[in-house]
Amino acid sequence: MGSYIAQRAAWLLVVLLGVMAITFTLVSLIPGDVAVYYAGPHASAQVIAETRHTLGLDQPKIVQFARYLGLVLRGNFGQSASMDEPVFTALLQRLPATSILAATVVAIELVLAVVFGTLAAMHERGIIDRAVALLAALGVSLPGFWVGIMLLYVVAFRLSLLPLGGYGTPLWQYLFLPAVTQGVPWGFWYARILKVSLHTTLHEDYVRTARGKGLRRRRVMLRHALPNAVLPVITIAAMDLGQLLGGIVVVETVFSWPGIGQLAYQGLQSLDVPLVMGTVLFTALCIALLNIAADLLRVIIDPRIGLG
Amino acid sequence: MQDHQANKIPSASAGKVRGREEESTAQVPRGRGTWAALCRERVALVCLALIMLLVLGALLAPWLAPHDPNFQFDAGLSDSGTPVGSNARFLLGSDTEGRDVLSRLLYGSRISLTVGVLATALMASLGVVLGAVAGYFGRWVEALITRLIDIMLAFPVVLLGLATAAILGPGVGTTILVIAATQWMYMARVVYSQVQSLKEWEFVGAARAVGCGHIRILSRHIAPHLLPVVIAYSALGVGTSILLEATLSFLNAGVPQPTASWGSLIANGLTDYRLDPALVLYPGILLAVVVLAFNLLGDGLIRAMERR
Repeated sequence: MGSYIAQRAAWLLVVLLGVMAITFTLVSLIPGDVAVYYAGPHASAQVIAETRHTLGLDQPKIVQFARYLGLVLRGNFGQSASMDEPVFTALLQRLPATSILAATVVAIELVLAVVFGTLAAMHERGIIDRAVALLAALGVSLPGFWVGIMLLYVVAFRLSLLPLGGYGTPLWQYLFLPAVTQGVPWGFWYARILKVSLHTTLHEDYVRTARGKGLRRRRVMLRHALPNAVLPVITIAAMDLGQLLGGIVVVETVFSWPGIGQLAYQGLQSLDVPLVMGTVLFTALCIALLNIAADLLRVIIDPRIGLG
Repeated sequence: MQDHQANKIPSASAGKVRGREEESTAQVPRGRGTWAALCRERVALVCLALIMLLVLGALLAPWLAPHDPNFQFDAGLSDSGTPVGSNARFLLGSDTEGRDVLSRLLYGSRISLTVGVLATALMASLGVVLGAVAGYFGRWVEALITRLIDIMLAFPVVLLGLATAAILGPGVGTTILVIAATQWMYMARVVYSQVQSLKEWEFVGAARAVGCGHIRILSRHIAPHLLPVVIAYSALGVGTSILLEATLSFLNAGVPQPTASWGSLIANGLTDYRLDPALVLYPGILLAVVVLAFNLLGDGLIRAMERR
C-alpha cells in the first residue's frame, strides 16, 4: 500500500507540474505589458520599471516559472483584479457550494446508474434497456445549459414549484434543479455503460458457478456480478471528472449557484485573468486528487488490483 | 463520447473479414468492408441524410433566409418592446432585438457547423499524429505523449476555454483552437492503441526489410488502415465540438455577439426566456438534433467496423 501511494503521489506531482506549465504558458500569452497593467494607466516609466522588477518580469522565463511554482505551492494564487481579495480566499469561500452541488450530482448519477444499469442488464432488450439506451444518447447530446433554462422556465417560472435559481434555505429547493440538470442525463449515460459492462460479466464462469450452485438470480447479480462490473464504470467516470466540473460551471451560471464555476464566469466577464487562471489551476488540482481517490476506490472494491 | 475509447476499441489484430468481396486477399481490415457493414446501420444512414440536409441548409442560407440575420426590424418588436411571435413576415417570430429568428437560425448553423468541422479537423490531425507517433516509436516518445494526454485530461475543458477566451479574446478562431486543444487526446488514445497493434503485423516488418523509412511506413503503410477509425471518431468529434462551441458561446467565451451561432442564440434568449421561451427552444432543439445525429452516426460507424 505504501509504495502504491508513493507511486501515485509522484504521478500527482508530474500532473501538477504539467498543469502549472500550461497555465503559466497561457498567462504569458496575454497581449500587452503586464507591468503597465499593474502599475496603472498613468504610471511613469520609472514606476513601470520598478513594478516590472517587483513582479520579477525582468527575470528569465524559467526563473519566473519557478517563482510561480513556489507561490502556487504555498497557496498563493495571486490577487483578484476585480474583487480586491486573494484568489485563493475567493475560491475557498465558493468551494462549499460547488462541493454540495457536485456531490449531489454524483449521488444522482450513482443511483440512476446502479438502478437502471442493473435493471437493463437483467431484462436485456426489454423496455427499460431500450429506454436507458435512448435516454443515454439523448442526455449527452442535449446541451446542459439548454436543459437548465427549459427546467427553469417550466418548473420554476410557469409552475412556480421551485425558486428561480440562487442559493438559500431550505437548500434542497435551490439544489434540486441544478443537480437534476447535470445528474440525470449523465446518470443514464453511466447506466448504459454499466449495463454493457454487466453484460460481459454475466457471461463469465464464476457467475455461472454461482447460479449453478443454486443462488438466486438477484443475489448473483448484486453480490457477484455488480462489484466487478462497476470497476470499468468508475474508471470512465474518473476520466470524465473534467467533463463533470465543466458541466457544473455551466449549471452554476444558469442557476446563479454561487460556486467556483460562477466565479470563473464572473472573472471572464470582468476580464479578471488571475481569477480565471486561479480557478482553472484549482479545479485541475481537484481533478488530479479525485483521480487518485477513484484509484483507491477501485482497489477497495477489487482486491485483485495490485498495490505494488 | 468518452467511453468509446474504453470499451469499443475495435481490435485491428482480430483481422476477421466477413465482407463478401475480399475473403481471401485481405488479412488486415480494409475500408470497403466497413462501407458494406455501414449499409446495414439504418439509424446511422438516416442521421447521415439529416446531416446532409442541414449542411445544405447552411450552404444555401443566403437564399433560404427571408431576412438579414443581423437587421433589427421595427416591426420585429411589439409596441411594448417585446419580441413578436411567429407570423407571415417572421415565420419563427423575432428576438428581443427585433431580428428574424429563422434567418438567425439558418446563418447560425453556418457558424456552428463550420466551427464543428474545422475544430474536428484540427483535433483529428493533432490526435492522429501524436497517437501514431506514440504507438509506433514507443519508449520515451510514448511515455512523454501518454503523460501529456493524462495531464490534458485533468483539465476542465470549459474552464480552459474561459481562460483562453479571457487571454486571447473571444472569437471564432479562438473557439476552434480551444476545442481542438482540449479534444485531441481522445483521438490520440484510439489511434495510439491501433498503431500499437498494427505495427506488429508482418507487412510493417516487410516494409522495413525493403528499406522504407519510419515516416514512409507511418504515412503510406499504417495510415490507410487508420482511416475508418479516424472517420468514425471524427463523426463523434463533430458532435462534441458543436456542443462545446455552443457551451463556450453561451458563457460569452465562444463566438462573440452579434454573430449568430446556435450557442449565442440560446445565450441571447437566456436573459428573456420568461418573455419568450421559443427563443431558447428552437436553437436548442436544432442543436440537440444535430449533435445526436453526429453521435449516432459515429456509433454506427464504430459498430460497422466491429462487425466487419
